[in-house]
Amino acid sequence: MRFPNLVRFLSAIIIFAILPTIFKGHYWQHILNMILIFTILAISVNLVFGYMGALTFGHISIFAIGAYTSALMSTNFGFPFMAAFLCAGLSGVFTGLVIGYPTLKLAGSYFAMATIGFHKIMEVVFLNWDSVTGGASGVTGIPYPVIFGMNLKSEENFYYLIASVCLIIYLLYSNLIKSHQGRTVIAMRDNAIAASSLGVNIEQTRIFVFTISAVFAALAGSLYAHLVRYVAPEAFPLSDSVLLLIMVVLGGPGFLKGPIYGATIIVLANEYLQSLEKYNMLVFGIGIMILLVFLPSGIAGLYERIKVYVLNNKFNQKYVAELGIEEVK
Amino acid sequence: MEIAQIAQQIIGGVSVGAIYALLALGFSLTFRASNIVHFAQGDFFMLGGYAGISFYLIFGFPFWLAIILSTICVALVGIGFQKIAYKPLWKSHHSFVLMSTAATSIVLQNTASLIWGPDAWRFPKLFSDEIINIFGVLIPIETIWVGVSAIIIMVIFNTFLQKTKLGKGFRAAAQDRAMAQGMGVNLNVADAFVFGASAGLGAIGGVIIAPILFVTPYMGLIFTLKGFTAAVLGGLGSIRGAILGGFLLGILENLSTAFISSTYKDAIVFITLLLILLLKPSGLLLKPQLEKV
Repeated sequence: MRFPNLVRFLSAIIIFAILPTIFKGHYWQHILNMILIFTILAISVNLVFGYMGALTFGHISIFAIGAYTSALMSTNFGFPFMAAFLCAGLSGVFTGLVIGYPTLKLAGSYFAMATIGFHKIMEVVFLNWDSVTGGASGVTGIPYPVIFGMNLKSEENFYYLIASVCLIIYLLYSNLIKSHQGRTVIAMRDNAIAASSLGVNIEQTRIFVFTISAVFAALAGSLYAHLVRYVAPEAFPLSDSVLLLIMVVLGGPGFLKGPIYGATIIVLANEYLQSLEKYNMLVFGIGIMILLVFLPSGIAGLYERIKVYVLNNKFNQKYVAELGIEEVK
Repeated sequence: MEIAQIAQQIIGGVSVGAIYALLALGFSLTFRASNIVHFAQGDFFMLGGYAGISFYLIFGFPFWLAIILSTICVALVGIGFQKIAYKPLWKSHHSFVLMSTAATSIVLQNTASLIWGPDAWRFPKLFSDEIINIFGVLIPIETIWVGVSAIIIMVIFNTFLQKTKLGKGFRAAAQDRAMAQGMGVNLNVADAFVFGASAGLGAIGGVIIAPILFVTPYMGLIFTLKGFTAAVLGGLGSIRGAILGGFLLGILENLSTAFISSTYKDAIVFITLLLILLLKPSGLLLKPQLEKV
């Protein structure tokens, strides 16, 4: 376990603490919470798409499974929030293994299509397994989470819970990427044959990373269920999976901070583009094409490039090499 | 369940399967040539249906001309996307090209919903409602029409690829680009052919099935998935496998509707997909091979 840079860590905590005092009011609080939840989801998609190089459309279903698990545990069995949250995490492990095992040994195209199939199967299950999931009307009356005797009734109180979960997940994720496993995954993405000839077990590493990303998505689902306190099949459309991919591509696939930029911009853009209604998805679709052709490394990549350019002019080449800049191939 | 009823389901399955086979053929073509799965395959199918309706109902062309015109139009759309959105990405990671095809699918869906509106369109009845009775097996005439025309198109297409010089050149380009170019195959034309033909095949399927089905802007996805399942069932990249897979999937789907329930019809198709991927990912007709990197 690497420990984060203390200055950066503290400044992140301070930013998280200051944000709700700047963005006041129920509406802005809700948007802040949604940005954080989507950041967690985008992080989990970035692990699979950005670092592993596998296109996934199934993360919104894993998110849904986490949300349903958490909702059912707390309504039917009266589990406290923490227990329901952990159950959601376990459901993520289970789902990650079940999808990952048959599909991840295959080439990327098969995997992408299999995840769409998985999404369709889960849609049918959520809609038709009435006795458990409540069918089309979904699960209602999910209680407010109570942590250490504190009842998180308002959006603002909930914000601190989501923010701390988000921070912990970000730390775990950056640790994973900087660890042996993370380097292995990047090597596999860039050249699978070379990596496997150096003794990397490709299938095992892929399943490991995919399962971790599934756990993140399921935990985000649990937070979402307790925030909105209502879970129904139509809350998890396939277009949201596409939205997650747009976040990752816009932020910069294969860059640590990419998901943060992407999720923030897309959630805000989605709020403002609501007025466009019909054109909303069309704008996003054309947007991805333009991004992929002209800015494939996203905002994070652009930032790195500018940094290199500025540093190149200021200092010598050696300093730039020490930064260890990650380029997406 | 009687034998006659089972036979009826199988014949119905063959005619739906012919449509799946057309879609699967499109998938196999693009996969052989560029090693990517084209996510917008089902949306070209949808676009074909709409183009057919427009040419037939709004412009008043005869049906055969509507089929040809809509196929050409959709093929041009396919070539256009290949030039604009996929070609610049050829050298980057393959997941980027995949993502770009998914974006194509979103763009086509939403454009169609802007042009033709979000509601379902229906082709007027072209064929009679008659039902033929052969030894107690009831077959509606329109399903025979759909099946036969799809099979004729596949035969023509297969002959073109296997027998003509141009078709052989395109197959060579799919196998080894550099060598084919050395032998005088124009790679730009070959790429355009592959993407245009796969879009066109989808469109033909869409026009043929339009008289039976409602056409909606968002119907593409389910057909993308089924076409892909059919292609994988036979072996992705194999032309004969795509045709076999299409028919098998159609029959399987119809039988499962009859025996289990129509609610789970789609889910059963996707469970089949996951099972094939788990047990024999190379499909029924292809030998297992190492992943290309």
